[in-house]
Amino acid sequence: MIGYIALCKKQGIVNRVIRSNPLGIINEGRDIRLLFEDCEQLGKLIRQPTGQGATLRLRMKTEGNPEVYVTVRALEELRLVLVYDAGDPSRTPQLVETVLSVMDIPEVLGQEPYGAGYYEIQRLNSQLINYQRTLAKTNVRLKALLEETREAKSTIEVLERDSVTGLYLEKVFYDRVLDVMLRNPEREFDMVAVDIEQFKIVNDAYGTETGDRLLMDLAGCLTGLSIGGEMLLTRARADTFFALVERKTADYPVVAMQVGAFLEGYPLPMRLQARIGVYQIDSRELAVARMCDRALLAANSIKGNYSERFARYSHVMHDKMILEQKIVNTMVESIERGDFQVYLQPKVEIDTGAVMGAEALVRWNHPEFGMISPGDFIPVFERNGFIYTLDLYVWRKACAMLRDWNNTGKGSIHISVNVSRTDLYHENLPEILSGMVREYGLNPEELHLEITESAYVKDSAQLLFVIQKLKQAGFIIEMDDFGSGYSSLNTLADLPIDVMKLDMKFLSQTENRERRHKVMQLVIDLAYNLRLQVIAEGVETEEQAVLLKEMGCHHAQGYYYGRPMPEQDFLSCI
Amino acid sequence: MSLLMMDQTPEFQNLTKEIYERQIEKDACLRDSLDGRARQKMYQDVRYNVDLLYTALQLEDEGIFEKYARWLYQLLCPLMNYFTRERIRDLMVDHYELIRSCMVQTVSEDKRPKLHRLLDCAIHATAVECEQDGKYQPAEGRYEPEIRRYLDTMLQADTLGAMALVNDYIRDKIPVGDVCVDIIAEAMRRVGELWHGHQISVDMEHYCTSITQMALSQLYPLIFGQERNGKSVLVACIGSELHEMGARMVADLFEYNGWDSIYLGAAVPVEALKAAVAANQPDLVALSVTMPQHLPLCREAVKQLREENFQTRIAVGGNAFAETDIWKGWCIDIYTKDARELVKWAEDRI
Repeated sequence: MIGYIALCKKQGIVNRVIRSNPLGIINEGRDIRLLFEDCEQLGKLIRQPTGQGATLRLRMKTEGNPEVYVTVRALEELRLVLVYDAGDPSRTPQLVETVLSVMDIPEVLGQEPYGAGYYEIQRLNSQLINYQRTLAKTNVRLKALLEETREAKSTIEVLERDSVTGLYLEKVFYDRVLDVMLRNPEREFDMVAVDIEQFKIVNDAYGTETGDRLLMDLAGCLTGLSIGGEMLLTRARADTFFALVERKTADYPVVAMQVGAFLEGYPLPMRLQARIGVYQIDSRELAVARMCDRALLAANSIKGNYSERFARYSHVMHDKMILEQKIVNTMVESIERGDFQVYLQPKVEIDTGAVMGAEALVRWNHPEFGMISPGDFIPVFERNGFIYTLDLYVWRKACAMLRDWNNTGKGSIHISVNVSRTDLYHENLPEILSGMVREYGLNPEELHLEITESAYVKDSAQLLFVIQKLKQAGFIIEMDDFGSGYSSLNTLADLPIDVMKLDMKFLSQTENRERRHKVMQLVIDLAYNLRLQVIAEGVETEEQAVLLKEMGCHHAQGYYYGRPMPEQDFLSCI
Repeated sequence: MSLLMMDQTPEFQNLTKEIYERQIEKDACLRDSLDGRARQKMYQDVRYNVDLLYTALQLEDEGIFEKYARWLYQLLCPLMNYFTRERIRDLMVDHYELIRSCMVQTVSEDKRPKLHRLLDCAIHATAVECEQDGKYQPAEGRYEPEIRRYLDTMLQADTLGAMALVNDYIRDKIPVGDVCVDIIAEAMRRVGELWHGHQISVDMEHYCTSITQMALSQLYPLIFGQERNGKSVLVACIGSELHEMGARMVADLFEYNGWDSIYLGAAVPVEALKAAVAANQPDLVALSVTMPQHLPLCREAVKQLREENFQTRIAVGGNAFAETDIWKGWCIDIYTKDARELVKWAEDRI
């Protein structure tokens, strides 16, 4: 008996074997037509929608080539194919039972049982949800991260800022400057330093809060300056600001004017001024801090100079700084070695031309640098305090000269020495000087003491006290440089001076010549009324000498009468 | 059910084969009427029964097999409604007795007394279940209207409606934990009941799972958007589980409470689990098991995690643990029935 039942596709591919007796006649996935010799005929039958079923008698290719019935019935898109032959008629019932068993199978047409694919879909579904979950989680995290980054950025911004002015901190400024220059290799930049004159006084007089307020407002002013292009600003320390500006966009006179106007209009009852220094960045290899130093050096070059508000850095400034350093490095060994020499400049009676005295002036003949001008080293010594040591040295030299002269019968000539402002702060100065003249066997009036007028302006009470003591000790007090700075009536009224030294520069200025003459005349008259001797300094021409004589000034000093000279030369002119 | 199968030992593989062959042999009608596919299906059913028996033996827990016997009986009653309940009971008893006789030939003697006891329990439970005819009626909680509405929407295959409902519940200020556990999880449990009761097809059951997963995924921005607390939980399903919704819900509720969750999903091999724990160093590992056959694997996973000395707490949960206390002998820190309870415990202890 042959009994085979299967579901096939219209092309003849076996979709599912339902019964197979004997087993394995043809398996799923193969073409049922291949079972038969006349496969074309079966193919035609299968393609037809045989609703009621149609039957063929075909010979099989299997062993013995048995003839079988093939019944095909369409089941929607599929075909139910029955291949059967009872052989022995007694087996017909068994064949019919096999056919009928098809009816017991609910799934012949119904749903397919779930194969692995169905569960795979479930698994994929879960997988997709998990991906979605991961994406959603990552998305939320990214948002939070973005927010954190924003916050961190603003925190960094705050940390990078000076709490008083809101400007970049110095270090951050350095980084930013490098960054800007790196990004703009073709553009040219300047480093600008802005410093407030006497800012310390604001803090001292009005409190730190007011000082901070001023710094904050100045920062606002600088930020708002009409400089085109990119500008970086920092407050490096105290009242020092640095700015990086693009050279072509910066108009410094205008900037100086704007800053000046801001400070002048600032509501504080004191005169506020800024000094501005500009360094043209000519070498980008230079560390930013050095660029700032140079800008500040330029600014400091006009320190205390109230008419100049803006200066450019030059290599001269740099050289000067280097020179100053050399001065500081070698001053001690120089004084020990005797490199400092005391020169004398004659003071004369204008009428007779007779030498009445001399001013002792120091010269530094440096073995390495040659002659160094007092204009270079005196301010340095005044700043670092070495001036007292040098002054003591000069005073001793002057005393020694006076003693020698007395011993050799040239006793009628006095020497005046300079007393620096800082010397006056030494409380035992009168004792020191008195001791010195005593040591050299001199009378105090032989040694005149020249004190600069500006010394008195700055700290009058202390200086008045010291000067009075010197005066009581018998020294002759000369007021140096009268009329060159801020001359004060107070100085004249209060200071117990004996001599007034008038600077001829006052007359040599060309504008308001007439008025200057009148003022000069008046000062000379005033001095006589106060019983002060008047000596004109810096007399260089005969005209000046004549003029002075007309004005009633009887004593003078200057190149016209003699340059500062070594002691031997001086002695030979008298 | 092929994906849900566990690996059998040769001993129990033989037992399965023996039962299957004898069943065919015994019943000439079956022998003739079953085609290849139906036979395969029958073999799988037998295998499923043996798996559960083996699981109960391994875990030495009679409750598991007893519970399964009741479940199977209730599953078959509506499925074979052309038989009386008593006839089905007798069929099942015959089946358990067949297992009993087959195991004499296939299973080593030392295991047999325990297997006898398990089969006795199953027979007894089946008889009790037949007499009681009691179907589980869920207690009606405070969210009964919400549960019914969600269930109805799903059963009407209203995808958009079901998704909208979850949003509505959140908008109505129902706590996220309650929406997940009291409404969605309960509705899904009832879907399982409906399938068990032969009232819906497995297709519908799977549709409900898919739509619920989608509906819950709408809550992700809310769930992940909570402030982080720096703690982390690793969640995984043990064995070849398709039922990962419960585990994912646990992970989601932890996220909602500020925990960072590492969700490994289903079918995580123990080695992969260990590697993930080593890599992430979580404060808590939560393992979920739905089908009881995977309980031994879960026990093994816990054992191996402990052997590695990970500095982590371990929690287990899932339907497989319901009505059992087998976890008590395991080296775990906590078992909870309710995901919210686990989160609360973790918040207090970790």
